[in-house]
Amino acid sequence: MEATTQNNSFKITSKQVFEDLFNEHYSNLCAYANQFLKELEASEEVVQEVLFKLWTNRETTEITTSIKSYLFRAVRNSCLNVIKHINIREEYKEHRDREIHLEEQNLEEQILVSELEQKIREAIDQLPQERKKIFIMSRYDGLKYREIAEKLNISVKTVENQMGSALKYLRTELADYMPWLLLFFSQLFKDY
Amino acid sequence: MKDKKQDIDEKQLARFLIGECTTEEISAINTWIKASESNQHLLDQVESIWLETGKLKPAPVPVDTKQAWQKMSTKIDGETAKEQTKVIPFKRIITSIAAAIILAIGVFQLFNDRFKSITPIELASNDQLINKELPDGSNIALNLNTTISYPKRFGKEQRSVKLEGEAFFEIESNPDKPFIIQTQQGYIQVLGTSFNVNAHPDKDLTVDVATGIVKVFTISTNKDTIAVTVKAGNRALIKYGNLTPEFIDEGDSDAYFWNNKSLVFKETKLKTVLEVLERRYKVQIELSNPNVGSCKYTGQFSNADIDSILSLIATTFNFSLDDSSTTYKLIGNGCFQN
Repeated sequence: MEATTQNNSFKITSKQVFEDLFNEHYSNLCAYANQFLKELEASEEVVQEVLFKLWTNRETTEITTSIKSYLFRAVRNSCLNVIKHINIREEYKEHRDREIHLEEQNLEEQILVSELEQKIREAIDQLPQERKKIFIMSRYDGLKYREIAEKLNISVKTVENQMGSALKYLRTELADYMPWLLLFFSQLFKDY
Repeated sequence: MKDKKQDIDEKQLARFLIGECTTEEISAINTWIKASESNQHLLDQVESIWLETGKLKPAPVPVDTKQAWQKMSTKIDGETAKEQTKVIPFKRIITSIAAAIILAIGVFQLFNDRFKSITPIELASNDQLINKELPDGSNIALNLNTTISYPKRFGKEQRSVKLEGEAFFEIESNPDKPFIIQTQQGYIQVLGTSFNVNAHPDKDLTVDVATGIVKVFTISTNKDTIAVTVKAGNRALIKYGNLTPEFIDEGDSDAYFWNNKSLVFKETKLKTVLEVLERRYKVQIELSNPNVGSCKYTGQFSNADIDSILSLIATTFNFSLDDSSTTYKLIGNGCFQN
C-alpha cells in the first residue's frame, strides 16, 4: 500500500483547487482536531479557520512539505492554542497533557496513512448525513441500536435499515480492496 | 416453508456482527452460512469491512462536508466581493467635487443650445425593463414606462440626456465632459458615478447615489441655481412643484431594487436591513437576540437570492442561520464582524 503522495511546492491558484483540497481533507482534519478538543463543533470551527486562513493567504503561501502535513500541523497548533485558553480543572488538565503527547506521536502516523485507510475514510464520509451519524455512533461510540434510536428520535427499524445500507455501500466502494481485506481477515484466524 | 436465504442481507448481518440478534436469528444465520459458499463469502466480506473500519484512528466524525463547503464557499465569495469593492480613488473624488462647483448658468446656456442642434434618439421602455449603452460607454437601465432621449453622438463640452420616468445610470468617468440629465423637475450633473433617478412627470424627483458624487440642481426664473450634492447612500429629493432640492442623509437601501435586485447597505442598522429583505423577498426573518438589531451592516448585493444574502450576513457577524422552518432565524449575540 502506497502512502499518499507528497506535493512539492504547492499553491492554491483557484477556488476550484481550494474546493478539491477542502473536500479531500475536511473530515479527516475534523476527526484529528476532535481528538484534542473532544467536541465536534469546536473541531469543525478550528478546521474551517485553518482552511479559510489558507485561502486568504493563498497568494503569499507556498507549501513545500505535503499539503496534508501542513494542514494537520496547523490544526494541531490551533487546537493546542484553544486548549491553552480553556479554563480547566487541574486534574483534567493533566489528563489532557498526557493525551496531547500521544497525539503528537500520532501526527506522523496521521499523515502517512495507507491507501486503504484513506479509501475507507472517504467512503464513510460519502454516506448521507444521517446514515453517517448512525454508522459512527454504532461503530465508534459503541451505542446499541436502541440507544441510537433514542438519541436521534427515530425508530430502531430505521437504524437497522441505515446500518444495512451503510455496510452495503461500504462493500461496494471497497470492492477493489476486498482481496486485501480478506487476506488480513484470514490472517486473523490463522492461529485458531 | 419460507426460504430464509432471502432474509439474510447486509442489514441482518450487521445485527449479527453487533450482537443484536436473538438466539433464533443466530441459528438461522448459521444455517444460512452453511447452505452455500457464496453465503460464507458474503459474511467474510461484511465482517472484514466491519473489522477494518474499527481500526481507524482517529475515529471518523459525522461532519457534513458538503454543508461545510457551502458555508466556506459563501464566505470566500464575500471576501472576494470585499476585495473588489475598492474605495473610489481619491483623485476622482477631488475631480468630481471640483467639477460640481461649476456654476449652472453657463452650463444651462450651453445645454439649451447643444440640445437644440442635435436630433436625439428616443428610447421608451413601456412594460419591459431595458438596458442600453450610451455613445460614451455609459450604461442605463430603464424601469417601466420610461423614456430617455440622447444624441447619436455626445457634444464636445458635455454629455446631455433627457429623462422622463425612472432609470439607473452607470456613467463613465470623463472629467472633461460632465454628464447632465434633464428632467421635468430639475437637472442632475455627474462625472463618473452610478445612481438611480426617479423622475416621473408630475411626481417628486429622487436621486439615489450608489457610487460617486452627484449634484442635483434647479434653476429659478432669474437664473439662480439651487443645488445639493449627494454621495453613495444619500438621496436628493425635489418635491413636485418645489424649486428647492433637499438632501436626505439615508436613502433607501432598496431604492433601485428593480435594477438587478440592487441593495445598498451603508452602516445600516441590521433591523432595517432585515425589514428591507422581508419586504423585497417576501420572507420572515427573526433575530434570536433583538439587541443585535442595532448592529451596523455595510454591504451591497446584486441579483442575489435571499439564502445567499442571509448566509453572508450570518458569516459576517458570526451568527448561525436557521432556515429549517418558514421563518429564517439569525442566531447570535454580538456585533463583532469577521
